[in-house]
Amino acid sequence: MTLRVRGLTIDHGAIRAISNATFNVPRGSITAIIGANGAGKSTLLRTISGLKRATTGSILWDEISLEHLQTEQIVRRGIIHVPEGRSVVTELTVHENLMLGGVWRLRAQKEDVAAAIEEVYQLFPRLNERKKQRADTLSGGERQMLAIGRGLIARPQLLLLDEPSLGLAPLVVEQIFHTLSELQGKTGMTILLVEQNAMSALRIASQGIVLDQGRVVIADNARAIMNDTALRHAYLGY
Amino acid sequence: MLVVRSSHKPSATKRTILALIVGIILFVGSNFIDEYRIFQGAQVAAYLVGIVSIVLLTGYSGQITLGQGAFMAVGSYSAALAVQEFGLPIWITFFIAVLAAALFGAIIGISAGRLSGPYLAGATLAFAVGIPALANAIPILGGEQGLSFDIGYAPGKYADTVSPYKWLFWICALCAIIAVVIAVNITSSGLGRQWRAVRAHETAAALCGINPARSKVMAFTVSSGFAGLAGVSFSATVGLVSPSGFTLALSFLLLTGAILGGISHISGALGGAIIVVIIPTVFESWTEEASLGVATYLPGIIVSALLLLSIALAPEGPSEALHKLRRKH
Amino acid sequence: MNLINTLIAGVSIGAIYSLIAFALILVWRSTRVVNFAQAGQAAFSTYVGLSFEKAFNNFWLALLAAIIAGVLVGAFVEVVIVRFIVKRATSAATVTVAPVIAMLGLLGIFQGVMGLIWGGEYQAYPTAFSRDGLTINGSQIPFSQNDLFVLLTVVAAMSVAALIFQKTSLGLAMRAAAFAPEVTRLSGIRVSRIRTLGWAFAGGAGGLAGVLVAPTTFIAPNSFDLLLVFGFTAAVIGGLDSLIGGVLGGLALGIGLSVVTGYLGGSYTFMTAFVLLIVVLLIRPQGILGARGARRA
Ligand SMILES: Nc1ncnc2c1ncn2[C@@H]1O[C@H](COP(=O)(O)OP(=O)(O)OP(=O)(O)O)[C@@H](O)[C@H]1O
Ligand SMILES: [Mg+2]
Repeated sequence: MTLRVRGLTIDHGAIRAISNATFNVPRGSITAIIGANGAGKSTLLRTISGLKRATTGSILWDEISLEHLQTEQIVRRGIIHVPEGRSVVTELTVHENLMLGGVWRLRAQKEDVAAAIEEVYQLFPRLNERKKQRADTLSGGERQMLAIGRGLIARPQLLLLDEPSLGLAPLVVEQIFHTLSELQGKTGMTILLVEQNAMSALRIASQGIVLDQGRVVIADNARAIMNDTALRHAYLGY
Repeated sequence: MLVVRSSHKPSATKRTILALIVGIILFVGSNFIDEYRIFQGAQVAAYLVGIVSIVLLTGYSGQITLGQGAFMAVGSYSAALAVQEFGLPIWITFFIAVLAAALFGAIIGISAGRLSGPYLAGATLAFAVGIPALANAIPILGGEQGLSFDIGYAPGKYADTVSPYKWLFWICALCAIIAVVIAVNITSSGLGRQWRAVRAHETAAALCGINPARSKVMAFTVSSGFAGLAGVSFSATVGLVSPSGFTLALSFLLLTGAILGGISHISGALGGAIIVVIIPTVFESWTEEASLGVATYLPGIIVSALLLLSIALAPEGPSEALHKLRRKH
Repeated sequence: MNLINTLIAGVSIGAIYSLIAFALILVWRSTRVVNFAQAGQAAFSTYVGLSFEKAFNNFWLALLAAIIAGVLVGAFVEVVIVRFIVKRATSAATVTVAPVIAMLGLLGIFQGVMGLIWGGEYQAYPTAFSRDGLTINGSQIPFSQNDLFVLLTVVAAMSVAALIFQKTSLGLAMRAAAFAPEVTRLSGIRVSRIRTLGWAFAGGAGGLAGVLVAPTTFIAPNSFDLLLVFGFTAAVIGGLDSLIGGVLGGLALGIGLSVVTGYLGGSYTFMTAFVLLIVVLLIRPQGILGARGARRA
């Protein structure tokens, strides 16, 4: 199953954030979406997860069109969005934040939720140490781990990650990307990774999509994009 | 009032001339209208000033007030006290009411100016409930009965020819006309622009050299002065200053008038005042046959429903909504 | 002994303020609206209770009816009116003003409808227990069986609420939705439904508060206006975001007012509450227990 985006156009009032975007995200791999500030990356993810409505175009997941579903219904189809900016509920504890990720799941799956929480603790031992702490006492990197962890509790088939590296030290970024890559290999889930940090993202991705002012300018093999100097100069600035 | 629209801005002199013409029309016109309508006209004039005071504070300065009745009470009680204790002539008490209410507004504004949204709403609400209760508890203010406030008859030889209602109407209308002219001049002056700037974006206004705190206190002071004038006009129509005259219901009614007329322009105040005065009377005559309960409660329900609808459909008032509609087509 | 007497005299009315504060805070957390119509909702629910009381002559049935009416009215208000208004009120000039005014309009409608159905006169509301002060060691204290009932009922209601909030998934979702609606939605929770539930719970708390306070204040369409102001004061003392803060704020307010009334006389009650409200808003705008910097909403 793949995510198919066809002729997608998204507006913020008079501002066109995405125009006529068409691309595929192949199943069981990491796809990086890169582009400058304001290119429309976050808008694209928010539309896939149903927080924002598209003007025209279609989004197909598993041959089901998502563009008219509510966010809650989209979550139930295994599509989990971890939005920009370390979004955790600061008033809840670390453990409660993780539990929140599984609240929607049926009673019968409660055991699996508990197991998923344990797995996240193994993945990010620092969270385990801070279980009972309120999330607003966490460091930026820990919060980002918690935000990703919250997403993993739902056992996503498609994980939408918006700039997980934002504001983090290079070492932490490498660590998180490494973890993501391992996790993807283990679970076989599909990851759509939005990044400013183009090189790090492309390194773990198999496919890259470059957005420029709301248009898909390149959708290609990640390695090919990394090796194309002209392209890098034109769109990635180095 | 319609000339005040922003499309063509008349100068202060033009406004004064216009106000004179309106005044003369009302003066002459009042001779051809029956007494009851004239009394209603006086009520409209009193409410008009009250609504103007809300439009200045909420519409221009962006500070919500649920307690305008309290400022009116302060003005009215000051005026009535001045008559009772010092035997001052009635016309002076109008100025006293304005000054007392403005002073009071300044004091409240200094503390309330730091609040916004629901906090300001709650504080002014408490105020609206508290001032009448306080007045009730202070012996010199006459308790539940309150103080009498009688503007009497027209002076000298006119006392016989000018009916008390007409006299009342003239006084209230004069107050209203003066109030509207001053209010319009304020809103088109630098002060009005400051208020709107602070309302739109406090930080940006501060960066432009406006002191937002001072601007808000100023708005409170000016608005309270208008409320004080509304208070005496209102008390003149009732002939009495008492706690039951300044209930929460009065504050809400004025706010309703301000919203229905259009909170963002002085020009809407007249429409708002007419609505809040006329709707209850329309229902009174309409439901004469029906039960007393319907006549008592239906107007309130209708007015509240209108308020709710106008907030949902045209939050900035009918004229603004029409304006937008026209731009769309 | 005298001071202790004035203190305990304030506890049961303080508990009722706590309930109203709880209702206001619950709604504030879910919708960022101060529900000034709560006074009308509570009175409406109490009238429903009174009708049951008259029909069946059973206090407990009436209490249950009032709470259920409160829940239904709360949910109705959110689904039919609030949702619509909040969606619409986006214009810059009125964005903070519009919800407040909408709630006032709603209050007006409630009070009018109550007047139409039940008339405007003050009506007595019965109690299940004696309102005479208990006698301890031969001396009467200003605390009756009914006061004890009020206090225990509020404590029980709050304990149930605390259990729901702390121990259940629903409670977790409600807390999350209050502070981070978007993350909550992205966690697969229907935030709009959570919001409706918040209004429903708040309505139920208002109905309960109405039945508990009506024997003292009597019931009329606007007889709970003052209660609303006190409840709001309590909520602000606690910081509008904290349920525990609101409950403690209510108790503190009830006891504080009782002390002032005891020493200065009843006419100062309101002024004291008002001064307290202003002082809290100015000196510690985040409330005594509230989170920092949450204020200029
Ligand atoms: N709520 C909004 N209202 C109006 N315009 C918006 C809104 N959100 C985004 N935009 C505009 O849409 C465009 C795309 O924004 P978006 O947030 O999707 O960019 P981005 O690629 O995620 O940028 P960044 O890398 O800085 O996060 C920008 O021009 C932005 O200003
Ligand atoms: Mg972004």
